[in-house]
This record gives sequence, structure tokens and C-alpha cells, in this order.
Amino acid sequence: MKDDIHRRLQSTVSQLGTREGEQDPSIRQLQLDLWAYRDQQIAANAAVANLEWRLIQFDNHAKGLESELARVRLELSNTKKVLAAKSAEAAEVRLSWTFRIGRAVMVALWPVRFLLRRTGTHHNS
Amino acid sequence: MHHFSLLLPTYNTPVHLLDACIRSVFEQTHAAWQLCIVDDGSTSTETLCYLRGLTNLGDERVVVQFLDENIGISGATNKALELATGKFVVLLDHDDLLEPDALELISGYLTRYGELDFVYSDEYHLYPDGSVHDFVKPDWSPERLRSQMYICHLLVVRTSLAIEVGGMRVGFEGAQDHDFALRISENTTRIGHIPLSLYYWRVNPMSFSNVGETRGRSLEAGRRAVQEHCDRVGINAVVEHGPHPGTYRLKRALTGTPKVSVVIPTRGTGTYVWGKYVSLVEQCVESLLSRTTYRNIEIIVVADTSTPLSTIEFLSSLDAETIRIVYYDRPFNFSDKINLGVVESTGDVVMLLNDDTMVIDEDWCHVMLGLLEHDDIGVVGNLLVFANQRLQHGGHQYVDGNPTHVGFNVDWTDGGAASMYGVEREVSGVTAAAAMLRRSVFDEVGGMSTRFPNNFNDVDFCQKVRQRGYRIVWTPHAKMFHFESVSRNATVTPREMWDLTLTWYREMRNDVYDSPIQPHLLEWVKSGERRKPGIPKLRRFSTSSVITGELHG
Repeated sequence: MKDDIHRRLQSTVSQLGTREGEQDPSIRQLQLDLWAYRDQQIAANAAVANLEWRLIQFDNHAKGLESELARVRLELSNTKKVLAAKSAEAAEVRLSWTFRIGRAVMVALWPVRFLLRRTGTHHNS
Repeated sequence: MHHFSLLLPTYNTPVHLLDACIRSVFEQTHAAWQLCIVDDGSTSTETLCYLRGLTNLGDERVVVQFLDENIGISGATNKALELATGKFVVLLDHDDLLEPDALELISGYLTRYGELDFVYSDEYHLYPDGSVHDFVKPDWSPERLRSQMYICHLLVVRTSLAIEVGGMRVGFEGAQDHDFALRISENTTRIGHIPLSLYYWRVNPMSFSNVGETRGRSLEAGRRAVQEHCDRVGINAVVEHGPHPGTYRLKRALTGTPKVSVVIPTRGTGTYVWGKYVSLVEQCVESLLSRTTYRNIEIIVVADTSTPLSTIEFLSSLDAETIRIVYYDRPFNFSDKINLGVVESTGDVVMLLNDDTMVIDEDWCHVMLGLLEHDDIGVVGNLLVFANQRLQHGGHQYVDGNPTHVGFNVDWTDGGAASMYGVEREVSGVTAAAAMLRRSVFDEVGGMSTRFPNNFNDVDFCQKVRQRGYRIVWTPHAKMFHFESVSRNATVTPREMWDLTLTWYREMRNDVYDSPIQPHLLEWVKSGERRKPGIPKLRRFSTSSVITGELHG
């Protein structure tokens, strides 16, 4: 439809001609309308091509972000695993040290306990 | 994997420079190369000793040939070309350096962009004081190549094509690569540009082509090369030396004398120019009539109905055969006024001209028409200067997607970077303040878009023209004054910016003539990993270590 109008306008302008001295306002206006039509057609096509291009860019960008997100997730998961392992290890270490310190205290206090028993402070007779 | 043959002619090269050059080849990350060295009858024992040492390395990739007599750089390069077995030849000067990933990037580029015949890259200029400057080049720009050897290094050519054109021509020494590039360009359209600096060119004020008599011979050889190129491709022009060293000016002869319709939109503004109050349009028309040597012109003044009566009377009193006044009674729309003026015109060629301009070069019309003789040139723009002689317009460029003028408000008289203000060259667009084009092109793209009443109408127009496959060329040889913004409102409306971005976003993000690095290449070259500009850290080694075969150590 648009192409048909375009062809008809082109044909009319060609027939009327643009010879010097033969122009009248209607021909001028017709020429301006034809240019406006052509300009809009070119602009519309360019805008569509640009939007398509930008869509592809966004798509690529989104794909890049998705893959980056997957990579970060994986890294996070691995980090969590490592942290959990380290935490367990640390807990074990802490437990072990608590036990050792407790035992050392008990051993260190044993003579005191012994003496207290011997002095009979436990026997309130 | 592409196989490259590096052609390296040597002649009494200081060993420390040759050593660095060859080391930069051995350091390539791309392994498929062949180094074809032809010594052009050196008399320096040190150089000869070094080269003989290379032959003792037992590396099959290095081929060294010694000539008994000095036959010049063209002959020596041709001898090296005879030794080449690679699919592509790479020209390398004996004292220059390659980036370590130069060949890898070229190979990747050739793979990505199809089978090209001719590829060039940007380059670093390495000065004797150790400073490094990036020489950013435009994409393929034939008009600029006719005006200066902008391609220089790194230059890669398909071997079969290099042989087909006969290699370098003897007699063009000093400009042999310019002549070679011109002849190559006549035989292929498959030309690519890598917008990354892959080569370090030593700027040596004492080199062969920069000293005394030889410098004059080199420049003359360049002029002859361009002249012969014009003769071969059918450009009817006399080539002269340009305003800056190493630049050339084509004085084109016209095949006809088409009528040029100069369309001047105005509202009769007056202002002070050089301390004197003038009517801009009267000054413009007067300068056109008195300073234009080309005679077949008509002037269409598109005047607002608010134009002062005195201006209308002045214009009406001039030659009625040449000047016509068309009245414009609608709300201001620059594009609409231009369209109306072109509709009223009768010439085959249209010159769009602002009323705040004034002719400087009397042959401006010849110069611009000469460029329009090329069917594939759509629009020609020219050098515009402010009243204080500083540059107003050196073509359009898009910086981060925003249109602006090349070299706005700079001192252009020294030629600027790489003499760009002194040579004819392709640009992404030119201002509608002074632009010449064929009426058929104007018609083909639907004139100027009335969507842009005030700003960017020229940017949009030039993009439409380029989209149809035409080149847009800017010339410094048709100078005019432009007392810009004296006569217009420079405020950009959001609507204009939105319309421009909506339509030409992609094109404005990829200024192939002025953008240092193209976004589509950024992804590919792993820009994050690429080294920043700087002198490559080459391991130095002594001549003896080369001779004893420690080069690979």
C-alpha cells in the first residue's frame, strides 16, 4: 500500500516535471510531501534496524550477565563449602583445645584437691 | 591459522635496533610466521655479523639473503617478497617493533571478518626521548590515502596480490609503501582496519626519508605516486604538494559545468563582525558574488517573512538572474526551509549554506564540485573557521555517541594531529552550514528531516546519505568563515536528541572514521587483558649471544 502510494507520488512528480518556470505551489508541495514520506520511511527503517541491533546487544549483555551470575553462584557455593569445612575444622580445633586446657587445669588442681581431702576439710566432724 | 611472511629489508642497521626488532618477531604469540630478511648490501661489519649469526640459529622460520650491492629499499623488499611462503606478507621496517600479539590479532581479525586482502592497524610513534604517542587511524579512507600515506604500519597484504601488483616499484624510494598501498587499493575492495596499535614506529628525524635532499626526493616520489594513481583510476587531476609535509592536494578538473544552486535560509539577522555591524545574509551573498570564480550558480534565499525590508530590498537589487528570494511564513524549521529552497532551485548540484558564512577560497566551488565528480561521494563539506580564524568545523565526529565537530575551536594552521586538517578525508558527516551535494542524492534520501527543526538535521541527513552507500568527504581547500551561533538558537531539545538516538544509535556508537576503538572489537580483543600503551619490555641480548644461538634461551 505504502509502496504503491510512493510510486504514484513519484510518477506524478515526474509527470508534472520540475522544469524551470513551470512550477506551481501544488507541485512544490507535492515534492515536499514526497520527501517527507521518503524521510519517514528511511527513519522508520533505520529506527527498526537500530532497535533490532540494540535488542541483540541487550540479549548478548543479558547472556553475559546470566553466565556471570552462574559463575558467581558457583563460586559462592564453593566458597560456602570451603567456609563450612573450615568452620568445622575450627570447631574441632576449638573443642580439642578446650579439652586440653580443661585436662591441664584438672591435672594442675589435683594436688589441691588431694590436700583438701587430706586435711579433712570435707569432714565436718 | 594464518601464515605470515614478514618482509624485512636491512641496510647498515644499528645492531641494537635490529636486535630489538627481530626480538619482537620472536616474541610473537602467534607461531605461524616466516621472517624474510634481505640485507641490501650493508657495509657495516656489525650488522653483517649479526645477520650471519641469525642464519646459524638453525630456525627454519628465519631466511636471510645477502645482496652484493645496494639496490634500494624497493628492490630489497621485492627480493624478500620472492622468499615469502606465507599467505600474507607483513611489511616491517628494520628499526621498528611489533606488539607481541600483533600477528595473533591480525590472524583473529582475518578469521572473524572473512578473507580480506589488505589489512592495516593503528600504530605507536616512538620518539627518541622515549615518549610514545598513539596514531589512531580511520577505517578505509581512499580520499585520505590520496592526500597522505595515513596507512603506514602495520601493513598486511595477501601475498598473491602483492606479487600480482609487482611488489614495490623502484624509483619511488621513500614513498614506496604509499605507492604500494595505492596500487593494492586499485585491485581490491576487501580492505580492513584493526583499530588497535600493533606496531611501534620509531620517529627518527635523521632517517633516510627525513633528511635534506632525500626528504625532497621522498616527497616528490609520493606526489608522483598519487599522480600516477589518479591517472590509472581516471581521476582528472593535477597532484601538488599539500600545505603540510607529506600531504598532497588534488586539483581536479571538472568534466562539465553543472548549475550550482546555493540555498541560504535566513531571517535577516545582523550582528557585529570584526567590529562592524553587518547584515549576515547580505555579507554572505556579496562574498558569494564577488569571490566565487565558478560562474554557473544561482542563489536561492529562503527568507522568513520577518526579514528586514532593507535586506529584501538589497537582495532584490542584485542580479535577478542569479538571486531569487523565496518567502517562508511557517514557524521556524531549518530543515523545512532548506527543503523549500531546494524545491525552488533548478541546479543539478545544491550547496546548502548558512547566512552567517563568508567565502575565503575563491575556488571553493571548483574544489567541492571536483569531489562530487566521484559518483560514490554523496556530500562534500569544507573547512569552516570562526572570525578569529580558529577551526569551527573539520567534519563531524561522534564522541561516545554524541555528535560534535572535529577540531572545534583549535588552531588548525599547523595541520593538527597527522595533518588531518590539511587533507581531504572521509568523515561520518558534515555540517549543513556549508555542504554540497547532487540534487539527485537530496531527492533520494527525502531531503532534510523536518523532525529536526533546529539541531542535528545535518547529522541525520548525513546518516541517511551514508546509509545509501555514499561517502561523505571533507575538504580543507574550500575555506569559508562561519560566524556560528550568531544567527541561531543552539539549545538542543530532548525530542531532537531522542529522535536522533532512536534512529541512529548504532551508527553514532561506531564512528569508523574517528573512534579509537570500536565497541564490537572491544569484546573480541579481550580489552581487559590487552596491554596498555607503552614500550614493550624486550629482553636485551648481545650480538654474541645471538651468534652462539642463545636467542631462544
